[in-house]
Amino acid sequence: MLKKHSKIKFFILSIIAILGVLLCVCSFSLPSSQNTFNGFLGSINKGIELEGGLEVVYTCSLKEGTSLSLEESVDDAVIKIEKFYNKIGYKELAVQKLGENKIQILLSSEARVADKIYSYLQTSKEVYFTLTESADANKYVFANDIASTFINYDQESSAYGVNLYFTQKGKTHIEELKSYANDHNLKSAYIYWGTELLTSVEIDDVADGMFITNNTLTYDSDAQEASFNILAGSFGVNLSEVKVSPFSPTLGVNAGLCIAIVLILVIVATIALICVRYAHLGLLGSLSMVFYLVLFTFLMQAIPFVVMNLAGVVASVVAYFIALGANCYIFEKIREEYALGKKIHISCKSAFKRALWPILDSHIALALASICIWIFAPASVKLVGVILLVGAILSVFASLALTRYFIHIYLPLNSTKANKLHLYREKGVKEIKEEVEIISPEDAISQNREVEND
Amino acid sequence: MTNKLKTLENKINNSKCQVTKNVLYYIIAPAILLLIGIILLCTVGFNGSTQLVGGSTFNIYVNNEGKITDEDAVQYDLDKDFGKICGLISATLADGNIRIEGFQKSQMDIEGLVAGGDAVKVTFFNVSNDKDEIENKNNLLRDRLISEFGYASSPEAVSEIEYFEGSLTMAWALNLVACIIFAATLALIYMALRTRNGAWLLGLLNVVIDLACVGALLLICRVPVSSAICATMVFTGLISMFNVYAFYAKSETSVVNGKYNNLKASEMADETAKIMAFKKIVLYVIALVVVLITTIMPVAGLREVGIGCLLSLIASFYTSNFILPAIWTLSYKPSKKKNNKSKEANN
Repeated sequence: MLKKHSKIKFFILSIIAILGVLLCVCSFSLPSSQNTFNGFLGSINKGIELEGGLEVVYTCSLKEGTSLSLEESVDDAVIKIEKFYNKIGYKELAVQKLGENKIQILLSSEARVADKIYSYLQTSKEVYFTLTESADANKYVFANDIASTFINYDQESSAYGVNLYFTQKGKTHIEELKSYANDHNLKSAYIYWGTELLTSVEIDDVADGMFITNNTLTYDSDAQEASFNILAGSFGVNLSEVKVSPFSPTLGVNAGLCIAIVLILVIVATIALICVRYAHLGLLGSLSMVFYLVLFTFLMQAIPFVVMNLAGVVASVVAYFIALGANCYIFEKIREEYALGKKIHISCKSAFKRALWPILDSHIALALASICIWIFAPASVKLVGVILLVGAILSVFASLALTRYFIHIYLPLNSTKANKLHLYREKGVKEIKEEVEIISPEDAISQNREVEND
Repeated sequence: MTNKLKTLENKINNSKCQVTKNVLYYIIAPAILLLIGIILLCTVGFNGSTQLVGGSTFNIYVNNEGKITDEDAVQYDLDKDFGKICGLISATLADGNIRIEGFQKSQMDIEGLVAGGDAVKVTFFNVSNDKDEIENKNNLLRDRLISEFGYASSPEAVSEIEYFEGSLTMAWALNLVACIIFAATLALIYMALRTRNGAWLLGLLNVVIDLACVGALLLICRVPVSSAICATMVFTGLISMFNVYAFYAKSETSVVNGKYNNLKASEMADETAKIMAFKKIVLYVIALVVVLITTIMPVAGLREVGIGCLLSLIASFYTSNFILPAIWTLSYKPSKKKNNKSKEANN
């Protein structure tokens, strides 16, 4: 009866695995809809290295009254544009100066579909702060004091708005404004763009990162446009778009195909290797790895800020090897336990007990390192941290939960034929009939520490 | 095959090689590498890509719609004739001793003639650092391309050749390396806390040596340094960290398990290195095969990363086998219990 249940369970698991793989690679039109399902793999956002993107070139002309030179103003605009795109979530882009007076932005395809937001940079709205309600009043904080902007939503006013972040000079100007307002007992500051009053705020609310809205920014696209416009207003140059054209992957025209070939070879070769070394255990490990890969691919397309670039591919391969290594570690422990003379099912139980903390320790250490990379690494490498973190979590799940469950349902099918699992013991070793507690080295370490502490 | 592998495993396990005793000799190789690396860094620097040192870029229309009807103008299909077009551009620019970095498929507009026509985007290294000289040279190259492609009646089919400065800075690279070292430190601190053994932190030395060796090898092998180098550095950091984890965990287990009774610290480290050597060889061979496949792929960017990872594997294999045991020996302190036992034995 147990055997029959195990066979049914394996059949169902195999069907789920095959369906998972098909969902990863196949694309098809959704019935009764004009939408197409691209498969999990096809839906992963790819960076300019793997999929190419859009090249936008702007010509810059110096604004009237700007104290900086054209070269300095263009350099300043390049830094601000890159920071701004990073802040709104586009990590996969390159901004650089072309020649004397041009700025080139290479955007990945995810940004290409984002409603041509790059065109908003052509309209600039210069924001400035006054202490009286008049556009001609004395200005205290100027457009070029703004370092970056960010879109936000205000729950109280139920409207979108923009957070303003200031340069060091801008922060000094804010202090001057506050000091003047305090001296003259003024309660409000007025924010203008151009000659139009945008909003008024209380003096205490004027600070770095302050939120402004005029209650007309109903949709996030309005706020995004306003955000771009204010940012463009802070440049010392006016931008006019001269070229918008798609381009192929920066790594090379067939980069995606070549990477796919390498990845398929890696997966097939490693699965074949573990099947050869561990026989049926290897097959169970392979099934676990298939589930790991399907879940990994699903999460990569589901997490919105993941944009796969070359570093991301390398991180994915490393994460795959870590998951595979965890499975192999468990199988090696099973072998060691069996060699001691234990029965197969007891060997499996003891092996998982022994492997638990080493696997958890190594994965927690990896997760900590990943979080560190995610937080502190340069923008284009942050993704590596996310991928490794996802890989580490899935690896623990695949090795300690999935593989364990698969072995659990396999044992009723075979709990006596050790050669089918490539488990061997030396001739002199007698089989232990009952479950005897043999202290594992890991337990011995903790016991030893306790003795030392005493 | 299995027998041969077992013989190799036995040979390694029975070898009398004392890694920790000869560590001073083993340090010579990385020391020389680092020395050469520093000299190269101070003299010629990295073999930078255009992302690092700057370059020039232009688009050239491939006349796929046949809109340019000059006698010499050939109609190309971007997909079918991509190689041919790249060859022609390379040959034209080669006369000006230009080093091309890459070709990409693109699109361009020609006012009054073509909208969204197929084009090839070319990026190449500048011949000089002087902006005026670069501009003059780029104008000459553009003229040459116009005549070579037969676009005399529509010179806009070759866009202005614009130069750009490198966007990657030394600060970017240092930030990356610092971040990897910080990440490794955090992971090792966790292990030190978990095992109540602060010696784990000394393993950081191995990560630093690995990163420095890979940096030196990148300089020596003149691997182009672009943003893709971050993949190599992260790979190195991770492999190095796992080597430290595996070695320390194995040594600690073996010590407590009683396998190393009556052995000195250096002998314990040698023994662990021997036990782990065979498995490490197998793992590294698998990793090398993967990296070699990447390296032979006909995509320049992938090749660069492949070579970077290859160097990283070589460096980490060397340090984990020949230097890490000595680092562990430095940090090993026999437990109080063991000391008491040996005192009792002496009495």
